[in-house]
Amino acid sequence: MEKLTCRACADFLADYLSGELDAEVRASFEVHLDRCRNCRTYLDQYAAVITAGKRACSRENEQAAEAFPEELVRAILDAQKQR
Amino acid sequence: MAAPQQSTADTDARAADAALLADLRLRVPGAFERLVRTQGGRMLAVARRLLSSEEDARDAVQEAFLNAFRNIDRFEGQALLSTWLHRIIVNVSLMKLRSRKRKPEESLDHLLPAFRDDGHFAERFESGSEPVDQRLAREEEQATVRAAIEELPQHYRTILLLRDIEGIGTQEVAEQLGISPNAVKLRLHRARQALRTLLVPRLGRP
Repeated sequence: MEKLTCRACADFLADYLSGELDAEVRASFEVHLDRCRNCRTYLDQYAAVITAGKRACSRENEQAAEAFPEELVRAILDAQKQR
Repeated sequence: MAAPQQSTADTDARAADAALLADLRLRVPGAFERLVRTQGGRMLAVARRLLSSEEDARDAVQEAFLNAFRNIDRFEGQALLSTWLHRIIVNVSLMKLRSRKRKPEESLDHLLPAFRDDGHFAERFESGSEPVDQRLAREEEQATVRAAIEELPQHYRTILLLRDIEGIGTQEVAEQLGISPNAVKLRLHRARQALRTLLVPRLGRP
């Protein structure tokens, strides 16, 4: 099994999280993670940021749904009538 | 129990959707307005993120609704109306982005992690007393997260938004942007790394 550096692990992060790493690389990746606290922290933060983006934008969608500008509703309905 | 509630909510949403779709096809007065009022806000949020311009975002929403209404008879009703409209607003927004004068691609190398010659990270990452995922979940950090996404260079931000936020697949993003699937994956990874660099040091700061 090839030993991975932190740099190689960082390159593989996205494929690791999406389950796209082949079995051999995944095994090497996990061996490295077991031994390297810095890479574990980096992976946790990388994954947390993805989740945070989804959460913040989903919240933004909910807020926007409650505050759709009335003048835009009118503009869309007027444009529709003119067709 | 959560699962049956979810299932009931889903059934209700589908029933409401089918009723609205039937009214839209019959051109029932007020149906189009109902569609605009129930779906417009979320579509505006998507367009604002992709276009970073209130005026362009409003234009995109208007265009998306007019496209949708024109093509309502072709909508087969297998997906929810909201899913169909989401796809339309993403496509209209991307068309607007493409029509803008192309800007040179900004680098984000300064936001990527540095490595020592031996391949180790140059920086030591601190986990802190409270895990980052818990800090990021706080209500007061939601604006911080959105601001950091907004700061990403546009070529990277668009891919992060399409893949991670709007849930569009790698292949489709590649086709929409005229780049290879591998380029989409690489830019997404770099965008996420840059977002981490921007975000983590700001957590918990006023």
